[in-house]
Amino acid sequence: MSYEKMAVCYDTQSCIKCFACVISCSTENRMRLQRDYNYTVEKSMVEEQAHLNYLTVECSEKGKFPNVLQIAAFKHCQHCDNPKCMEICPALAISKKDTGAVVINQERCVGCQACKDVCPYDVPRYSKDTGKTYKCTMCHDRLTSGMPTACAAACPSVAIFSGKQEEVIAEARKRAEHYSKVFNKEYFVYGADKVNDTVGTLSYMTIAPLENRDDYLLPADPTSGVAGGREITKVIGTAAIIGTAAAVAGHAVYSAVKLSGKDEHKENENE
Amino acid sequence: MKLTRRNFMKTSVAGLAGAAIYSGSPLKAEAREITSADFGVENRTFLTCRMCAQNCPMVAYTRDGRLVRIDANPNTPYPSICGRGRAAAAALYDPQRIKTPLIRTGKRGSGEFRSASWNEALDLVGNKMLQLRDEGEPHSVAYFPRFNSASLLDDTIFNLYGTDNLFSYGDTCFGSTNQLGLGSVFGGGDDEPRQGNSSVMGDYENAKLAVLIGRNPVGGLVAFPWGGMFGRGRKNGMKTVLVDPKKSLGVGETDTEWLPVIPGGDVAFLIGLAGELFTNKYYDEEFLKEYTNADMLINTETLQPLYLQERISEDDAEDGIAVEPDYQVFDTATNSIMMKSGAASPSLYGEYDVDGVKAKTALQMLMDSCKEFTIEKAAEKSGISIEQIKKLAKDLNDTRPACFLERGYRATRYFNSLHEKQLISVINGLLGVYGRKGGLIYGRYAYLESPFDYSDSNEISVNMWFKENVEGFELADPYNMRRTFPLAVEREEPYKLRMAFLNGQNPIGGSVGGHKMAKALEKMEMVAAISPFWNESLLYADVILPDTTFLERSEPLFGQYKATFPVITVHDQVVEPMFETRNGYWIMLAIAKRIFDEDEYASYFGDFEAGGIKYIVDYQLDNLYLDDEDAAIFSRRKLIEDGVWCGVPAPVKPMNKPTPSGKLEVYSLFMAKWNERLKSEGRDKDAQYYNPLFTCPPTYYQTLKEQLDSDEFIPITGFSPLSSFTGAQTRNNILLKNVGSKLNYSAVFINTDRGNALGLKSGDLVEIFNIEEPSLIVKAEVQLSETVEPHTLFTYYGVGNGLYRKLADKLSVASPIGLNPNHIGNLTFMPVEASAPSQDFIVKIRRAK
Amino acid sequence: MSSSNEKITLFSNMQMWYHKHVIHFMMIFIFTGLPILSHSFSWIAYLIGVPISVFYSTAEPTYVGIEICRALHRITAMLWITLSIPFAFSMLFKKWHLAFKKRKDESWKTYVTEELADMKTMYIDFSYPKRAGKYNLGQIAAGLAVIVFSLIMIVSGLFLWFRVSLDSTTVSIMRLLHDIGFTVFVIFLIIHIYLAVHPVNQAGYNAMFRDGKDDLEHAKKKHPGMFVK
Repeated sequence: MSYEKMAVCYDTQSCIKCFACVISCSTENRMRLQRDYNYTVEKSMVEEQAHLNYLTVECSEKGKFPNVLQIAAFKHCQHCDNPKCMEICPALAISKKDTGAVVINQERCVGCQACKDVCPYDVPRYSKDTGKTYKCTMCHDRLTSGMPTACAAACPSVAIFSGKQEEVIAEARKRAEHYSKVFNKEYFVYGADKVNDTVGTLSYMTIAPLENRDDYLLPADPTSGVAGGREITKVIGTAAIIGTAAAVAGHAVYSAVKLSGKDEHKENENE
Repeated sequence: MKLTRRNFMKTSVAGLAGAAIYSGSPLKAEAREITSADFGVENRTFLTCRMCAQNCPMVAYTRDGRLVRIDANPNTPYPSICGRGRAAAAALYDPQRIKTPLIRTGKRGSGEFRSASWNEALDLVGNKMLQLRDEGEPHSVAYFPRFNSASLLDDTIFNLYGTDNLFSYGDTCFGSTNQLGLGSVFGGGDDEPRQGNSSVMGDYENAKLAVLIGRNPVGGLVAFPWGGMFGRGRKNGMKTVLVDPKKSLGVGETDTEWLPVIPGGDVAFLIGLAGELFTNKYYDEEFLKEYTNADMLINTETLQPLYLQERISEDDAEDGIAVEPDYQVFDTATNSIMMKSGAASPSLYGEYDVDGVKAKTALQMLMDSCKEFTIEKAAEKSGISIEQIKKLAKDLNDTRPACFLERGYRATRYFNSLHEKQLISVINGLLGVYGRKGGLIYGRYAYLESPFDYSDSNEISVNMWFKENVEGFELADPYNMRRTFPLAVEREEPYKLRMAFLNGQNPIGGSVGGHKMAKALEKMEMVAAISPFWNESLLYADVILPDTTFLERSEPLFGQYKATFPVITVHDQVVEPMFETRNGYWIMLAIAKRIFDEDEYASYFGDFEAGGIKYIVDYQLDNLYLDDEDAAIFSRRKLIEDGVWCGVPAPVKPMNKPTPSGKLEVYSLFMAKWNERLKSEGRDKDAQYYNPLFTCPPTYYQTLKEQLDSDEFIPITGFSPLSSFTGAQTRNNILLKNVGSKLNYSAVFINTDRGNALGLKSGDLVEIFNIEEPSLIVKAEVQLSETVEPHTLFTYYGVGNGLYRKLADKLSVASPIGLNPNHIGNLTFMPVEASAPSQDFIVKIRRAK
Repeated sequence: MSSSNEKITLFSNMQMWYHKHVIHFMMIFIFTGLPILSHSFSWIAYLIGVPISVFYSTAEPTYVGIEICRALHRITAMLWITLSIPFAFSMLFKKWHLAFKKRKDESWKTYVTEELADMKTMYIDFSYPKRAGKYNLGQIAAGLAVIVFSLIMIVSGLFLWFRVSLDSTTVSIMRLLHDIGFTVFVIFLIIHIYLAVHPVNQAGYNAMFRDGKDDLEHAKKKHPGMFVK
């Protein structure tokens, strides 16, 4: 079954930091444990299971009293157009759905955490209890059932909204434009346009003031960091291995020709 | 396969692999493609949220009899519930809930209890109440309701039993301060002008600038509708200015201005701001002329109106025609003093000599009182810079009337809080924002009747006796007060209190001077309690009856919402009661059966016992009175189908109010009256807090000390959106703690530089004590932050276990340490209105040993 | 065979035994490591997982396969490390051949040039070298590299084993090192195996896999450096 491309957008401006979205995400995932694994909510709801918070909060403080900037940024899967995690996952556990959701198939996940290494946003979260890695699924199940994502459904202040991609982008751009005008500084929609070649566009977008992009964990040039070296190693390594094999093959041919040219090899002259 | 820890441990024998190779039943992918059918099978129930006291309309979904999801009820203009409500499942399924009736075995406060049967526990309580009534002292029972699960019925039972001693929590919240603060400008009430928290509220959606003083509309509860309205305001581009000792997250992070006010310095700031408004003529002259008493001539000696024709009601008027109030003004058309009703063009300004009496217009009085208090002084006393005050005044002028000053919530903080609330209401009047789009708009309500009888033949209540007989309690709100309890117990006045009955209330954790509450409880012959969760006060109970949570019971209709339109909600039971818990109605009826004889019981509660909650709901609906415009759109069926009904919003236009002058009183005659009365009684100290002018009376802590030492702070509390009050429904909630720990919400926050000066760093353990109660020492983790005003020690309310460490094993999710300032606060009372100055004391901190 | 019956021992029993097992270990390392390295090799995991999941588990074959590979990888690593300890110990008491044989009176340049010339003589001209010892420069360099990279693989592998309790940057670096080490090993093995089976190394090959001995005369020609006092 194929679905339309969907998107989610978080608006830092109209967010009132009630964290209803974070809780809703967490409880929805616990509900899924009951639905899919028969692990009842009366158990899961009173356990920490921190890895089920696919949306987490990162607090930061900048500046000196009283000119201080205090930000509680949200950290979550951005659902990249080029999911690095999907490329690196050795178990083929990560896929990108029609909706744009990048999803870890828990049954295939082997908990190697390569996705965590390579993720430019350091999102996937490993659970020691289950030995698997978790991250936001963009509520693929809800979106494909015509429901908003759990975070969007929870928002009392219309700061997170989900829906068809083009509609979400249109609304997001409208808001950013309005804020830019009212507050007289540039607001942008992170992820509506291509961020860089590494990640491409994003299905989970963010509206924020451009000058605060780093405070909101929206890097201009997200990279895979050290783990990016693995990709390079794989390319160079493969090339080097092929090169070596070719050289060896060449030498073998050379040896065959040269040694058959002589009656016998010096090494074996006494035999 | 289940993702349980045990299951995992069992199967992870392939430990070398680091993860398990599972066997068992087939799996389903978390991200499998699911159709709407997956969601359709869930049962839906409408109810209202009781994670705090605001009853936000919500809808719960169950599957296999279990609560699986909670959403906001979508059938309102602002569908909103906060994270607390969404985390209700962790409260419902909390394994540390009180599961069976408990009877105390150890010392009071020791936390040692044994399980008991319902009959044994109920008999204990019932027999004691019977004994007290037989001895002719039913009034010696003190009843403490809060999050009780038997609304309407519980009050009735205690009233019919013979006690009116209902100790409610309002004195620490809206109590007298917020009511009188707005009432002094707005009027209302019979003898005392009282206005509820939602008489007016910010029109966030249309506002261009909101000044938030003592209010965080987000952390601070009321998701429906304020949280929703506020967020929509932000979306529409509303700017926010936060006047608070702690910069909070929810009011906006990037396009917001923070004016860090010294604790209790709000009044100084407001005077500075008003001074700027006056100096630059930033006020709304037209509004002042039309709707306020700014033109009233005031005797400069007595501060009373030169002449006031009081309102005469139809009953008192000789010809049966009501007479509106009238007062003297200076008419510029005739250049003479005359009654307002006859004046063509009353002057707002000027000083006049009227038959030898010096008089000024009310506005002139206000302006002159501001002049005495320079902006430099305002900046010094408030900690807010002159530039910031000036900028704010200008911004308000540029945006009015689409702007306002919030007047705060949990308003009773310092001795001068009432004056602060009054000045805020006055400044809003100067700006002319009442009843204006984007300004302050009016609330409307639905009133629901109770089917139960009341008796008015009981002994006078302790609170009423204090109000009538004790100096300093004259303006108390006897229906919203509980801190008289320890006083009454100590003095044995007006009579001896012998039994306390706590129904969901936690007076030790919830009221300032909690340790004195505990002492008073210790003196009771019996302390009975109903609660679903452990709390400080339960440690002092003799019998504990386990209550259900709000998800396990049905309730009558509810209509007390803080909205611009009337709201009525239904509340149906979502899941079966857990453990051996029983809902409050069952418990209350069981007690009623034990304390009333059969005939009494049958006549009072027979119908209810037979009909259940439906009996009350039917009665409420049959006796529902609605205004015409609401009645036109009310439908019983729709209420049941939608779980909520919303009426017509109040019109957005300025309205005259029932004040003595019949106008919005930017010059408060109520304050003028009390100022005069207190002075005449020689109570100058009290009188300074009752003044219609821009004056700056000190806080209590400022009267203790001019200057704080380097290790002294003022303990400020504020709500985080992840905690509420002192109930364990949020305190012992792992879903909330998962997020709260990211905010370090159980720590105490102090200014970085001040912390460094004390050699402290974030994460250090400190000991905190009230300088007036040095023996009560609380431990907490300290967090240094630039977001805290230097005089301030900030804590999130209702997070840590504080002084009562015995709770740690009963509430193991909650932080075992952490400050609740109430525990160690003073049993001081606001001057004359007697509510709780919750932050008005000094604490010292030192590194914990 | 050589007319002379005099033999020289090139490899001890310990060395031969260790070497044989290392061959098995390396094969297992590579086969079980590949499916963890990249999804291009998930077919290996799949092949392993299919039969097992049919009989023992209803889980995803790839998942099962990778988990088994991972377990085998770690078991093999433990065995290898365990076996390496007595081996390394025994090597401490033997003459150390894997060292650069630069004479004190010559420069590095001369040494390298002459050794390279030797290697050319051996591998291109298929003739006897002038100065090579037991190992020529290429073998010495490769041998040292194998030791260094083995240590890298062991350390980074152990880090990855306990990655759960480590911070993600450390894990990333270790994973990168493990990857680089793997690539180096593959390249080494290709050359090593090729040259081992190449006719020029017939004697060495025989020595390693038969009795560890070579004819003295042949060895003198092939490894003149070994016999210089």
